[in-house]
Order: sequence, then C-alpha cells, then structure tokens
Amino acid sequence: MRPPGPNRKRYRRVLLLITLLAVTFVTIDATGGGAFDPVRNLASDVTDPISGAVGWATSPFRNAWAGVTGYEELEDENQVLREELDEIKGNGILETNAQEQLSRINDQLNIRFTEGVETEVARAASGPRNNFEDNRMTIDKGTESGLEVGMPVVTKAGLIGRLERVSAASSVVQLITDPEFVIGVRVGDTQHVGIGHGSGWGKPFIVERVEVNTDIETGNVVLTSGFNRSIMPALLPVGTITEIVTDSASNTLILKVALSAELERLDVVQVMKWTPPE
Amino acid sequence: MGEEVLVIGRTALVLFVALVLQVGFVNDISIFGVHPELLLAVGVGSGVAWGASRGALVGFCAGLLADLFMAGRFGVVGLSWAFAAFFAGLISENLARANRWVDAVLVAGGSGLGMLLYASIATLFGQNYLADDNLLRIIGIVALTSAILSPAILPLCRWTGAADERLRSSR
Repeated sequence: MRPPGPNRKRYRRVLLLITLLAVTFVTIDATGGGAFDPVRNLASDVTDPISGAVGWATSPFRNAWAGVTGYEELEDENQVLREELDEIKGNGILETNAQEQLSRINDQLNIRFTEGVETEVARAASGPRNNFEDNRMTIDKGTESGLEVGMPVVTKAGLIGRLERVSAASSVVQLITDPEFVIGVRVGDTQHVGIGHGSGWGKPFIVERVEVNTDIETGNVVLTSGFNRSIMPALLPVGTITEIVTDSASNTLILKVALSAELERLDVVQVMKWTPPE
Repeated sequence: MGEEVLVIGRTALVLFVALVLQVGFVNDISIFGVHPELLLAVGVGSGVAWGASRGALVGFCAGLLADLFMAGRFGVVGLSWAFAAFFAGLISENLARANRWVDAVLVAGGSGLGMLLYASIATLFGQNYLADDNLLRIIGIVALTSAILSPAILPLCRWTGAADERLRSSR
C-alpha cells in the first residue's frame, strides 16, 4: 500500500500546498469583514442565470421527485393537522394557543410591524445548499431589487432572519435559528430587555441577561427591542416564551422562546428595506 | 504545455457543469432530506481515475467551488474534499486489479469520507456538524448516490486527463 519514494515526495508537496492554501483562506475569512463575499457574490452572479435555466428545464422532474419523496411526509403532516384540529375542537384550545395569542396581542397593540417600511417579496430560490444544518436559505432577490446586507427578513408571523450576503439576483438569509444570530429583544409591552440568539434548527430561541422579576410569564410575547444601533427595527415579533429558567450564577433569567414564524416550510418571505443606522 | 492546458480546461469545464447542475437541480433532489454532492463525486472520481495527487487538486478545487455557495469559513470544504479525494486516489493507485464495482465502492467511500472530514473540520471552526443528528444518514446517502452516479462521472473524469497518465487504461 505504501507508495514508492518519488510519489511520497509529490504527495507531501501537494498535501502541504493544499493545507497551507486552505488554512490561509480560512484565516483570512475568520478575520471578519467578509473578505470572500465579493468572490461569493460574483460566483452567484455568474451561475444564477445558468442554474436558473437548468432549474426551469428540470422543474417537471424536480416536482415529480418532490411529489414522490414527499408523499409520506405529506400524509404525516395531514395526520398531525387532523389531530390538532380535533384537539382545538375538543378543548377550545384556540384561546390559549400561543400563535393566536401573539396575533391577538399584535392586534391589541396595533402592531403592523412592516408598516412604514418598504418591503420586497421574495421566494426561496433553491433547496438547501448544505446537507448539514447551516441555518441559511437562499432567496431569489438581490441588489437588482434594492436589497442590502443586514435587511430583516420576515413572514406575516414574524422575524425569520437577516440578509447575510446579497448578489445581483439572489441573497443568502441568515436564519434566526443560527447560534450566531444575536439581537436585542424585549418582553411584550414591558420594559424588560435581554439578548436573544438562535440555538439551532428546531430548537427554541434563547433570551439571556433578563433581570429577575415577576412580570415575565410563559406565554408572553418577545419582540425585537430596536434600541439605538440595533441591527433590527423595533417591535418585530420573535415568538412566545415557553420556559423560564433562573440563572443563579448571574441572577438573571434565561427565556426559551418558541418562534412565531414557521421555518419548516418557508416559501414566500418579505424583506424589509430597513438598514441599521450608521 | 498544450496538453496541460487542455487537461486544466477540461477539468474546469467538468467542475463548472457539476456546479451548475448542483445549484440548479441536484440541491432540490432530496432523498430523506439529503441531496447528492456532485462536486465531491467529481473530486473523488478524479482521484480514482488519475491517482492521489490529481485527486487532491481536483477535490480541493471542487470543494472551493462548493465553499462559494455555503455558509461557514471559506476553504473548509476544499480542505476536506481534497483529503478525501487523495485517499480514494491512493487506494486506487495501489489496487492491482479493479473493475467498475471496485471503482463505485471507492467513489462511495471517498464521498462518505469527504462528508465526515467536512463535518469534523467544520466542527473545529464552530459549526457543530459532528453532533448533527443526521450525520450518519448524510454520509450514507451521499456515499450511495455517488456510487450510483459513478458510471457517469468516472468516464467524464477520465476524459479530462492525458491518456498516457491514466492509471489503468484497461478500465
């Protein structure tokens, strides 16, 4: 199995070169500032039209494939929906349903969170680019539609993320589930604030550094705080509190929040043309 | 010199076609939530067809192209896939006799290794992919789909190179 002498030297050279190059790229990227963003955007600009054409040409096959492979999932989903409907009918749970409560409170507070801000409707551009959960999605709008890095992305239910990279005709959204997605939040119409961040796909949004108090209860709504220099505008719905834990070490509360927006089946989203103040 | 340019040009063409198909088509072909990795298959296929050194280089380029479209540190996929293609090429070089089945197994193994290395290296840089509940499923499905695609990918990989360098011209 051991390669002969000259080969071993060549292998060593090739592997060393590749490792050095990769480490250099990673180091440059890790310094922040998006050193590779222009290259990534250029790659999107070059491939978007061609891959779009490929996507269009293969859409019958892709749709058929989705129909075949998604059938069981659809059946399961129907079953879940039927059970939920039965539960709602039986227990009158509608009144206490967290989503409904959020919607009701929004109505009461007269929050129309996108009002006054121009929005751009966009659609999910393709399937996930990474097989692992990278908490990103690609949408089919970019700088040609006036989008910029940092703009909030929402659905009618609430915040789902922010634009991380924007090329001419597509953008990458960093989803709210990303552990590196950090925003200032406040609890409902109280003045209690904290720092919120994602904790992974399918896991609750975590709010930390909330002062210990008795006003906060499970079921309370969590909104973006929109404080000065915040990366998000104020009063975007994030979700509802499902669990409250006291961190005795720092004498603060940790809130677990169920997201108000459903991220599992994102198709159409709205980008708010709002950028953080300089 | 002329032949080298031809090899580079053909390899670039195959990688570009694989990239466009990946982004425009294959990403939507989900099998239990996992899509095939065409670029990885091309990288590993080059290793199987042309040996460890070229496998490492093509795998690295394929990984960098994938890096352009993924979140995370640029270069992580390139490094992972380069080593996966290198090891697939190393085994291929040292096989006395081989056939299409062996090639398919090598492509599958290399692809699975590529995903495992990617998860491992990405975890070092803060993306905890090694703890992903679907890790084994991802590795398994990517390996299986690469093996299925190998009868189409390997001839393309062989086409990219100079005939006198071919590992086992009889194949």
